[in-house]
Amino acid sequence: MSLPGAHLLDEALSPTRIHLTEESRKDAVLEFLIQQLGTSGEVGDYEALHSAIFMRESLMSTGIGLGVGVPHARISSVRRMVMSVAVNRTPLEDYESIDGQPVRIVFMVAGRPDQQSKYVRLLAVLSRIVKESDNRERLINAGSPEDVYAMIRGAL
Amino acid sequence: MPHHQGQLGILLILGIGVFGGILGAWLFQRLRIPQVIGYIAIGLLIGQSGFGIIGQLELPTLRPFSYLALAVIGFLVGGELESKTFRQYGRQFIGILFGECLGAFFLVGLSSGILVYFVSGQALVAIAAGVVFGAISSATDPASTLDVLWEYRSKGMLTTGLISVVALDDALALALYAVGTSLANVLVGEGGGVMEVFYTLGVELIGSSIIGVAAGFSLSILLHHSKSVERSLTLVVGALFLLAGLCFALHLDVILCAMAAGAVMINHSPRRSKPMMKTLREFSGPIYVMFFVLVGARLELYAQAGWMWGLVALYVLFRSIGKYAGSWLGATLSHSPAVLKHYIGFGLFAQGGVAVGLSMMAGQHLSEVMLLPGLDLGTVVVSTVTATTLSVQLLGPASVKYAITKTDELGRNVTEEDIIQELTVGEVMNHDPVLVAENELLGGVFEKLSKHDQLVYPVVNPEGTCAGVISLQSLKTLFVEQEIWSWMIAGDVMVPVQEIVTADTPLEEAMNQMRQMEAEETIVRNPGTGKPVGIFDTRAARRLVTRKLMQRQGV
Repeated sequence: MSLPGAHLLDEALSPTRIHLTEESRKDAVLEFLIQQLGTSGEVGDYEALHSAIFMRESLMSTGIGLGVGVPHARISSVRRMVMSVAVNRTPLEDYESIDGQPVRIVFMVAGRPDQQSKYVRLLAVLSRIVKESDNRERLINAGSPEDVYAMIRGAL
Repeated sequence: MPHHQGQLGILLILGIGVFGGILGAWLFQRLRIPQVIGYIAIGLLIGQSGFGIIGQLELPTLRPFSYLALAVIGFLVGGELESKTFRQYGRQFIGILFGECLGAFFLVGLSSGILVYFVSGQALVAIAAGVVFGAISSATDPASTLDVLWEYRSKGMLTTGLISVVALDDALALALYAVGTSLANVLVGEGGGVMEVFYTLGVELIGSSIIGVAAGFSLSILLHHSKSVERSLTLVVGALFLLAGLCFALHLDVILCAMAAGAVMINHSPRRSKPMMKTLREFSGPIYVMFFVLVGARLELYAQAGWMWGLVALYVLFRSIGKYAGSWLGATLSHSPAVLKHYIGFGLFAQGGVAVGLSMMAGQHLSEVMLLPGLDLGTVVVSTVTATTLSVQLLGPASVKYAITKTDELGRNVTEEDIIQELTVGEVMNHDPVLVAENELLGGVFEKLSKHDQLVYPVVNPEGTCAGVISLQSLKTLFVEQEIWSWMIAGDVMVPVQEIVTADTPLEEAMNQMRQMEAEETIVRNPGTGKPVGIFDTRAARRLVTRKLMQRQGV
């Protein structure tokens, strides 16, 4: 693990929260990922997470460009910083990314308000991983959640 | 039981006195007249010459209280006598002191002597009366003068000069009185008393000074072992009780004694004494009020002969002229600055305890000297000095105020704490804070940060309500994570606002809260709308307080 802050991603990610989805709308993917986090045992208040994720999207889309979305929120009922991942089979045209590109890879992150530093570093690690086109290609072409998990860990 | 009733009566009188005095002070302050006149006026109203609530019976019981008050006053006056001031202006102050004392002595002595001669036709009695009146008139009341200086927070050369001169002229007045009364006794054939008066006053002067100096040194040593200002205050108040009681029992001058103690302390251990003096001054408020109410209550307005009213008028007139001209001459001869030369005389009109005390003494010493059939010189001295004290106690504080107003020393004795107590957060905050929109990209936020020196930035939603706050401290981690600046927004990194202060919060309270939170800046919100109205920066507040302090002090 050579990337700075890689251990944070390693701690937050679990193969059980990685999914290959086949949704056609951004909201459906977000709902799915929220549910994944809500049932992970690490988030106490599902409703609060739901509301915070959609509130954040209403301020500005989390489509960070290059076909990647990073919806995220900080709420106090998070026990441990946690994330879920969706690689969608079809591009999500309605994601309204900053570069206008449809989104295929979605990382959802939930942290606590007092975890600002860790939270920012985790988002920065994700940003660095997806900046490499090779990494993005391998994620999109992964055959299973385990492949995605292995690929992410391999990139760290 | 009568015994208990008597005790309660005194407590009731003290209560009436203090509350009445405060009421009088409030009324007079509204007329821009020094509060001390209000205390005395209320005293007159409830005293012997007024409704008689404080009457002949209560006054002797309350006498020890006046002694304690004089001890506190004397001690605080002494606390103002720092040797460094004397090293710098000692010659000038001594010049003014002798000028004003001797000026009043000669002018009052001459005018009252002439009048008494015309009334009695006895030259020797007239000279004796003149000498005694002259000596008594030379004393100035430090208590009411100091009260005015403190009330109006006066500071400067005139203030320092006034405090020094009024503090020292009691001793000179006592010496003049000793010489004067002895001379009077010799002149009117009561020669047996010369040595006695010299002895009595010598013992009074020297005894008071020795006890005071010894007390000052002892207290200084004790203060070195005291851990807190509160403990020091208790020690000093205890010592003042002892000093007042000792002076009362030994017939010593309590002001002189306590003043010597205060002067020794402030010069021997200034660092420990100053905070203790400050606390004593704050605590002495009710004592001061009651003391001056009692001064008023004690004054008796006699139905006296017309020529005696003439004597009162001459005494007041020539004492005022003597004080002013004498101080002017003394200041000129000692090459004092113009501010002292022209104005210090106005601050020296008050006449109080020492003059009344000396007149009482004269009342005894001169009771055998008949001025007219059935009227002895002692009685004339007592009633005249009482009536003049009333007049100059009303005139004196007002003219002290005039002097410090003209010299622009009024309101200059302020500290940072005073200024802080006067202000609210709203008066010191930055009313035009740089705001950050909740959906502003971090790139834009950092650009703002680079252009402004705010430490905290209110994050506002589209309605303008404060959604959170971004602090420079909390953004530290983001400096190195620049890849996320292009897609993360202010709302992602803001933290909830901690409501520390509002615009109405007193500055002192706000500073304390900020210290406890270890914060330097915080957002001020409108409690009703939740919109940010300013940034409270403790460093900027301190700078503003310092600037205001310098303006007030005339620096």
